[in-house]
Amino acid sequence: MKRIILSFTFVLTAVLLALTIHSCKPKEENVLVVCSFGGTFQEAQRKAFFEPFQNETGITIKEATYSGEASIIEAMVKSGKVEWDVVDVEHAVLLLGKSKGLYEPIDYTVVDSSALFPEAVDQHGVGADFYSTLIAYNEQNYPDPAKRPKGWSHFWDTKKYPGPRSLRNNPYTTLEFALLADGVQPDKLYPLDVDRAFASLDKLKKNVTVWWTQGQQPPQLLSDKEVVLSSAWSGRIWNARKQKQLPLSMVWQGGLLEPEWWVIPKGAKNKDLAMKFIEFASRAENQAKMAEYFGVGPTNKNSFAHLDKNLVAELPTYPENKAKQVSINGEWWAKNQDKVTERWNKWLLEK
Amino acid sequence: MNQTTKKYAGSEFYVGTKLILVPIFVLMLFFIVPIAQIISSSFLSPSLTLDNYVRIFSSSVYLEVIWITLRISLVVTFSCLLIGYPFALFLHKLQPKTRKALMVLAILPLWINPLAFIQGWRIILQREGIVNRILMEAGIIVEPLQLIYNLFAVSLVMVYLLVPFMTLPIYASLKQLDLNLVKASQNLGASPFQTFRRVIFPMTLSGVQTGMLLVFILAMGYFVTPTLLGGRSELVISRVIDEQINRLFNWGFGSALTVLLFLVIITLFLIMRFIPRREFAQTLWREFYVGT
Repeated sequence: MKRIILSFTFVLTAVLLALTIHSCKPKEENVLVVCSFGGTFQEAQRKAFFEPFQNETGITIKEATYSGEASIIEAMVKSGKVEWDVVDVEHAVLLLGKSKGLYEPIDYTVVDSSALFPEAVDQHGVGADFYSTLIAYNEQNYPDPAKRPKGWSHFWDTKKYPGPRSLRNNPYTTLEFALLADGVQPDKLYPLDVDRAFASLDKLKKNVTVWWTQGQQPPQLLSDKEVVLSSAWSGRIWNARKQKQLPLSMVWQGGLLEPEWWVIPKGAKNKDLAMKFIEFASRAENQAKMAEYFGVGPTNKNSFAHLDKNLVAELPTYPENKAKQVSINGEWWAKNQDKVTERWNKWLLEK
Repeated sequence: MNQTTKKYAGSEFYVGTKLILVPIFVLMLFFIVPIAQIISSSFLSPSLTLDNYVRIFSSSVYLEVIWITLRISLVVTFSCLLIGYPFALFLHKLQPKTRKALMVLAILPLWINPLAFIQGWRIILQREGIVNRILMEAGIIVEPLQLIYNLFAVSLVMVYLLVPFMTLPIYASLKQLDLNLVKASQNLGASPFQTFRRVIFPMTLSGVQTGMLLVFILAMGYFVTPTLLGGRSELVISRVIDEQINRLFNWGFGSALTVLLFLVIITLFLIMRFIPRREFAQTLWREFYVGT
């Protein structure tokens, strides 16, 4: 009996060990692993980039999803087991990861950057798309177009625009909005005057009933009339309008424009294929498709020629819209996010 | 007690000790190793340092967040006890068939995706939600009540999700209760309440203790519910840890916060575990009966 149990333990140990070893399987040829944020966003990317790329090159794309956790990329790179070849990362993650040396440099002899917006070209990443964080509202709450909110000073004006509001539970972009509302000129925004931003936020604190954390919250909150005004991601509002026919509007004035990035984690197994994929995804016609499916701003200036005129006017990088927005300064955030986040949490808990 | 000891005194005892090697091995691999990694990274990331721990105490915010988490967990634990105990009593009195059906209903919320579940509560509790509409139509209130994005919504939903972890252990200990003792107590002229206080409740304390520990420990780790249904004051420690590790690359500081959370839970666990049952019962009564 003893022996049976001992051998059982032994076998179990062996099986577990074998499983561990199995996870370091050999490199697969012609398979590219692309990781993105999942959901309807990745569905759009699948139609715009992944499937056409497979058809053109015969390379199979294996998809992975994550929720933007930079820690996973860092863990992969540090342990030397890099399972993702291309990752879609947020602007802040590009910059934080760069400072830690997590990404391969981009080979711009493969990727053609001549038609890309300069904001979408980086030594270690290529813009995947642009989106904006901006004011959104429900048109039903403001039936008269002349009396609709036009900027952040209106968002802060609780007398002219009464009602509960929602802001993102994150200092990122929210501090900028507080400063714009307080009268800071867009070109003088950075470096951010953090004290002034919090003082401005103090004035609105009691009117913010919901501090959102997930991108799908603002369209829900607005269409349910839980709040009258909210900061929101442009793609989410665009989708709520298009797919669900909700009467939501966004205000380009004072929106914060930022790119999302394709990066290649250092030590990726299929670096060269990854470069080819990024080149493919940056082409004007493919960027146009992504804009058509998800309402994000193309990174390629030539994409607009491929798109319907009505649609073009609703995209964040359409020149007329782009001029009203401010480009987020990721370098400032990469340097200050840690400290500012601590202060933000402290501020939230103050009465 | 004697019988059980005897039973395991024979050769089967050895089978038991050897069999336990398997779970020990699994625990080592999936539990102890990761915890050891977290502890070491709290001292070693970015380099050998105590800074991660110094930082916790350098700003009041982290201790405040721990306190908020503790407060929410305690509110949830005691609410679960107040709801779970009567429910266990009720289950105990039912016919086996009805009981089975009700037990399935009781654990049903645990099968639903938490995000879908929270969506459902949002529809019920929001400003133009079901509750507010009914109350306004009935003319009971004029302005919608703020039922969501505050401590109330967080506790309500957490209690709803965690109550089975209280009910089931209490029900298990009720099942072991010798009914003759209850009859004897009634026979000797005790009122139903006295019977409950002096006989039933003290004899189910092990279930109460287990239930409270389970609910409390689970509640300390909840963060989706407080984040999505809470307001700005429902900032819990697991959310801060997630932010530090997943968004800000601060492995070391996130690990230090995790170790702190771990220590708080272990301390409370040991306190609860080693308070003699009788004292524990007296304290509970003081809280619920004499005190109020």
